[in-house]
Amino acid sequence: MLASNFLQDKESILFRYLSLFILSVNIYAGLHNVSVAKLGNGLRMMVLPNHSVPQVWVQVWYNVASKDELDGHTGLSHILEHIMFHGTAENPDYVKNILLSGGLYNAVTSKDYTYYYQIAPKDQLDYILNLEADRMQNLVFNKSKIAKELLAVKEERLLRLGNYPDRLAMEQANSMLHIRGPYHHYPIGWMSDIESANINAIKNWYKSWYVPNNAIVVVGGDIDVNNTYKLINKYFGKLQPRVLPSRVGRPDVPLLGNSSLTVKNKLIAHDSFSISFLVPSLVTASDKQDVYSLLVLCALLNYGENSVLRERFVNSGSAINSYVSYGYLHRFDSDLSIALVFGRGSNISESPLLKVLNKLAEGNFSEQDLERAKAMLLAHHVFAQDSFVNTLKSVANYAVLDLNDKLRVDFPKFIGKVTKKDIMHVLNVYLIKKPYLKLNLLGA
Amino acid sequence: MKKFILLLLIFNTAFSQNSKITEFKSNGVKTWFVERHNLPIVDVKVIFDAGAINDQNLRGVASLTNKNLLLICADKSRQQVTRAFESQGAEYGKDFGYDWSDVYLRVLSDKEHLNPALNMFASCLGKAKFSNKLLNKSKQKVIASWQELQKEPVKQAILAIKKQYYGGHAYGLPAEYSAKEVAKVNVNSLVRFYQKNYTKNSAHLIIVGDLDLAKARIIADKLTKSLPVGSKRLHALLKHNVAVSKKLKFASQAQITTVIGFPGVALSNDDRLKFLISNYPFGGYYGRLIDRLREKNGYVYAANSYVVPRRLSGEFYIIFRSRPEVSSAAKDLALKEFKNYLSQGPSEDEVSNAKKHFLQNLFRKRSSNEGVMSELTDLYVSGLSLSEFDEVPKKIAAFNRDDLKKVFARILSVQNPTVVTVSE
Repeated sequence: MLASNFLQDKESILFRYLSLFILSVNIYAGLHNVSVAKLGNGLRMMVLPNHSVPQVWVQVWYNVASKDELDGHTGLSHILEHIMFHGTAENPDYVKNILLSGGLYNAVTSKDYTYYYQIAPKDQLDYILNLEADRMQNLVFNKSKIAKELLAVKEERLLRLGNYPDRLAMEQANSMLHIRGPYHHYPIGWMSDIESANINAIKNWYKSWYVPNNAIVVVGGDIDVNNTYKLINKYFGKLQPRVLPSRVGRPDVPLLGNSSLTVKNKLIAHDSFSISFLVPSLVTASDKQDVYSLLVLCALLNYGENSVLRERFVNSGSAINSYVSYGYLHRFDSDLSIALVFGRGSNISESPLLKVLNKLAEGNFSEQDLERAKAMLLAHHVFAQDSFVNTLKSVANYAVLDLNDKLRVDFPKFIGKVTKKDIMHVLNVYLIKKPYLKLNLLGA
Repeated sequence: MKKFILLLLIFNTAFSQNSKITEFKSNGVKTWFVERHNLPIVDVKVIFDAGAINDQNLRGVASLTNKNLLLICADKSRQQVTRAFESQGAEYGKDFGYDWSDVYLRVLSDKEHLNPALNMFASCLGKAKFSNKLLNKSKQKVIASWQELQKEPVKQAILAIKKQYYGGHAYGLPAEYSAKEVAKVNVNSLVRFYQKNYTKNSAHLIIVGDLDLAKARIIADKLTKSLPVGSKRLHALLKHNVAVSKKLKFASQAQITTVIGFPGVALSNDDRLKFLISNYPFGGYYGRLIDRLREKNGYVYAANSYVVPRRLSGEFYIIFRSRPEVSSAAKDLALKEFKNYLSQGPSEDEVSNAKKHFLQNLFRKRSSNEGVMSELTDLYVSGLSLSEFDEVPKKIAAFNRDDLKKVFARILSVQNPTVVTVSE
């Protein structure tokens, strides 16, 4: 069938879209037989077998991160993450032992959670679960090791941010957008807080938050579900829960008007701008369908060569590149950012972009554009199943945010439901005539 | 050794239960097909001998030809082409490097999605067309990449080393191009390059996914029948020139970048795999280098060494960044550890770790379609046959400490280290 005939055939588009949607739902239902349970001490467990390779993936997720850190103590969750690799009295060489099996280990600290993972041959499951239970409550704090680790954390901040004026600018813009909310600072923390971090603060952070009732153990791979539960219970069941510190509510303060930050530096290769709006996340949205509409809006704006920003700015030659980002899986209100990159000395006014958004809000886009955006989102959703690690992370991510797993499973359904009216609705509610933070990055 | 054999056996059983590998020729183009039904996805990649080493006297023509594929074709506009892919939710694109270029497609395997996307993919490949307007746009992007390169201290340091090793050969120059260089490339240049280099004789096809062999053969035929025959080209292996250490100045750096370079080996070198494994205990993710520089001294966040084999030659780099006041100490320590490792080699434990790490990594890779595609691509660009897919794990399992020590020492004793630091 020729592509031109295909494009003219609306019925054909809808049929293709529907078949893709049904396919996505079926794949989701089939692949994601996640088993969920909870121990008496509050530890949550999620188990997902996958017998395609004789390995196990073990993740332990803690509901503590930069969102919980107060000013003066930013970066503490990330610093603790580094210290967790120093081991315990019983398992001082656990890193070496994981490596001896040919396994991998690492950890991630984000805005909402900190998680640790091991990937190893399946016969290591017992050892890894023992290790994770041990370091949940028996971590060793060695003053001189911690001092060296803080140096490494400082180097990490320089490596990821300090060498790059544009990234430092984005960090500052983020704190201007999230004026006093939990996402005010990046997980790595401000440099002065890293420098002043001390062993007692780190120890207290660990004792307060690293408890079974604040954790989820996720196990996937070549495993037997019942046996895995038994093993988790064997090692974690004896750990005592603790009352968690009260989480200080710090809702974001909405912007009263537009604000901007301009940074000019020799190390910035191109002129660009971004505009960022505060928007709800899947946890905070009063109507969750708004979140799916925002996701489809992002795809409509910038997913594929025929997307709105690519057509209007990049393919027309006025911009070199375009970006849209929206983190919908967050515990608190998130942000939606739209960026355009230009050659040096270009006009970086946001007016043309705002005009485009206004037109969309008035319904100036076709049903075909909408269906194409949804088709790409849904197909990508199927493609993402190719990675078992991503599947496990997705399962755990929803759980650590206390989101019903049905939301994850029904993702294709929610995307499928988004209509043109929904897109116009979210534009008018969250973006059009709403205050934004503009970041201008200019080469010098 | 016995435990490795058992490991291989367990893995091979798991893999062969889920995947079937076949090799065949389609219109003279060698094709590797892996049948897997774990997900309703098909991945297709066509690799061409059309990398930067084929630029000859017109730098940038190989890159721009690649970048202008899958945009328009003989009877289809850009919008028709891109909408045809996107309406199926297909992901498609191209990759380009010094040695090879490729085009790829990922699409759902049911015929409603697969057929339209594949038909368009085949049209674009066999009836590629180029336009001034699109060429100028892609030049803009290429120049933007070149401008970004000027701000990257690690890449600048590597370039400073490669330039000395390879002189005016493509390897010694950036894979990004300045405005002055791309100005010389026009539509006729692209047409000539495409006709000469995107041919049956320079192509290799890989298909992975939810198809049977009969369907795979149909797809292969569709993708290859319209390519011109062309001729195979021979590229001679390169020798390294002697390089000297340098200091590069860069604006506003919070850290000093240190890159230590050595001549390495080509992809086709018999010792490449041993070299890769022998590097792991020294500069791998959890190796001696990071242990000494970070864990013991807090000089760095990351410090690793990299085996970089290319088609015609290769290099080896030790790379780290550290704050100015400890940078010199970090460099001295890195060189000291390197010298120790060169003379002592890895311990038996380190060898066992490294082998297990690579095998476990292979297993993980092969559990996904993307990983299988990546591994087959590596095999092909290394000049290896499909039988190596099963042989590589066995070879890794059989390596011993002496092998690895000798290979590491032999390759990295040819020239003194070339140290390039980048700072304010």
